[in-house]
Amino acid sequence: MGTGSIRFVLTRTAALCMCIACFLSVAGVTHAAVTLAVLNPQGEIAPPPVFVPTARVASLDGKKIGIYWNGKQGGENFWDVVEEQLKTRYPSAEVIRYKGPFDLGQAMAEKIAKECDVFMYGVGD
Amino acid sequence: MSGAIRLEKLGKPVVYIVADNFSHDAELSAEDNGMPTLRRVAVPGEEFFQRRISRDQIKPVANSAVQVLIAGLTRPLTREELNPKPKKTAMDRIIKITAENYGAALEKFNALFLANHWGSGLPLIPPTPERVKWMLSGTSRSKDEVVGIVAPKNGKATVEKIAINAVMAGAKPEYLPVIIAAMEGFTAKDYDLVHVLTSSGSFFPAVIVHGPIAKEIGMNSGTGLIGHGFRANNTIGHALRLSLLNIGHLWPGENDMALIGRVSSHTFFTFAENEQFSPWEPYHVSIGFKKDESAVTVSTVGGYTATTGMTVYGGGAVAVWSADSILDAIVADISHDRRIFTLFKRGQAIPSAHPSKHILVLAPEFARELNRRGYTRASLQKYLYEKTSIPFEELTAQEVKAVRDRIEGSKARDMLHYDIMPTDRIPAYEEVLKPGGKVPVVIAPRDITILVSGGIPAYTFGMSYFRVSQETKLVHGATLTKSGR
Repeated sequence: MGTGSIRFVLTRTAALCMCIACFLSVAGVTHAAVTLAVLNPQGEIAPPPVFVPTARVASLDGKKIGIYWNGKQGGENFWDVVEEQLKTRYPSAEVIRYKGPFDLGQAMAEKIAKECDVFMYGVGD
Repeated sequence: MSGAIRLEKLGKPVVYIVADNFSHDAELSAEDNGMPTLRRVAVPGEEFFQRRISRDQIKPVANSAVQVLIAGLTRPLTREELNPKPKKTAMDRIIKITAENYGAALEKFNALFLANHWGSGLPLIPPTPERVKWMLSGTSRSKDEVVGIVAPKNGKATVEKIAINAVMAGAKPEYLPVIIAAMEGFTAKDYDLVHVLTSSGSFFPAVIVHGPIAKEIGMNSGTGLIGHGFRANNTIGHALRLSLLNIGHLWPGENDMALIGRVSSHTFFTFAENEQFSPWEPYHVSIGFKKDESAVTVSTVGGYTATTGMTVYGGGAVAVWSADSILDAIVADISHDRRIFTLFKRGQAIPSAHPSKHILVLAPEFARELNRRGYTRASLQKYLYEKTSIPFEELTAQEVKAVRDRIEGSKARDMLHYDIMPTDRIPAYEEVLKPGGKVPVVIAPRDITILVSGGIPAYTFGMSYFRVSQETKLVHGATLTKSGR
């Protein structure tokens, strides 16, 4: 295709695009994109510290097992069965039952931590 | 979760057990409390909640749980458990949404925010910097001022963050000082925000505005007071819902564990006192604020047995009523609080045994009749407090023991805070716990909040909850109203 022919095609193509754009504009069809920039509604949180759980025990034989429960109804039935099972499987273990609020608090935690080797902790919901 | 982590930090291996419907909640809680890899095991909730009623029924569930409980304490920690990933908390300040036109962009914005758990389910207004600046024109307080810390994830509630959520809710700048005051109430030290936001019961807040600002911003205190149709009432409530949700990082089923949802969950019960029709001073004045000041009371209401959040005592246009019939109904309702004697067991979490507070919203015509009979707000509180007290001789031995146990536990402060009696009330109980005494079921007269609101006619209704979690805060920093400056 010669230079003159290319120029003819380009000129006619440009004219066609302008006609289409004009038509679309008259018809009310435009393609201007809308960008909404909005602020984040979430509260900033300080990164929580990260702690690692304590090493596990090799076995519950001879251990004092604390069971902590917040006293929600029906929990006693569940833990009675668990306690029975533990005593059957580990006759040398001792099970101590505790009750208190959802978070037992530091004072109670320090007290019962001295009395047991391991804990099962549940709060009823 | 925090209790279990205390024991772990003291060097004791713990295994934490939940019902499986709370597993994700427990995961988030472990993360929030700093021990994301705390050992957790789950029992099937569908089985546990139904079968816990007896040992025989719960046996299969408990027997299945025993092995995983044992393994939780004995199986060595894995590499992943010993190397938990730190939680990412950095956030983008600005989010951009692009679409072919404004309508499509609005739809995309709403879809994105709801997918991110940043919305309430209702349509939101985009919080563009320009709209937020507009909202902030309603207060003279600095946008960076920290109003409080919002549970459950302890997000910082700055004035700007509250304004962003107020824009989303469709509020106007003149409402912002009221919204900020309510957030001060929610984040106050003694307000148990965690419970109202995350409990499995249907607790929710009531938000009551007192003083001249209520009328200035167009709040409804007449017919339809807890309903729709008033931009101030509805968008103030919605702004608070969004603020608590977003700033506290709260979401249904994840850490908001209301099993059947919360009443009026989008807008709460948000209304104003009807000072024009009331024969008495506004509530905030009765507790020490000045008459030309404005204030907001936030209070948790609702629960397990009053899930609708209210008890109607009478009045209105249908059944006949008298001031005496309504008073009798209030007394009968408050008298049920005797359960705090019969059900209380020291050291156990028994919700029905926690002492209650009562918010009474008196219909104006009822309040006016009481006023004609010589009642003031204070004398009405005293009347209800005394009328519902039980003569010592009528208490059972178990009830007397329960009151004594509560007194002892309150002195030792070794009980759940819901059960603790304030120190100034202990002598009052010790004084009456003997022959000739009358033992109150309401811990203090101040635990009966008396408001006047509604049109004429209206119903007189009550809202109740554990006696903690009610705060009244001054509205200040307003720039667009005469009151609240």
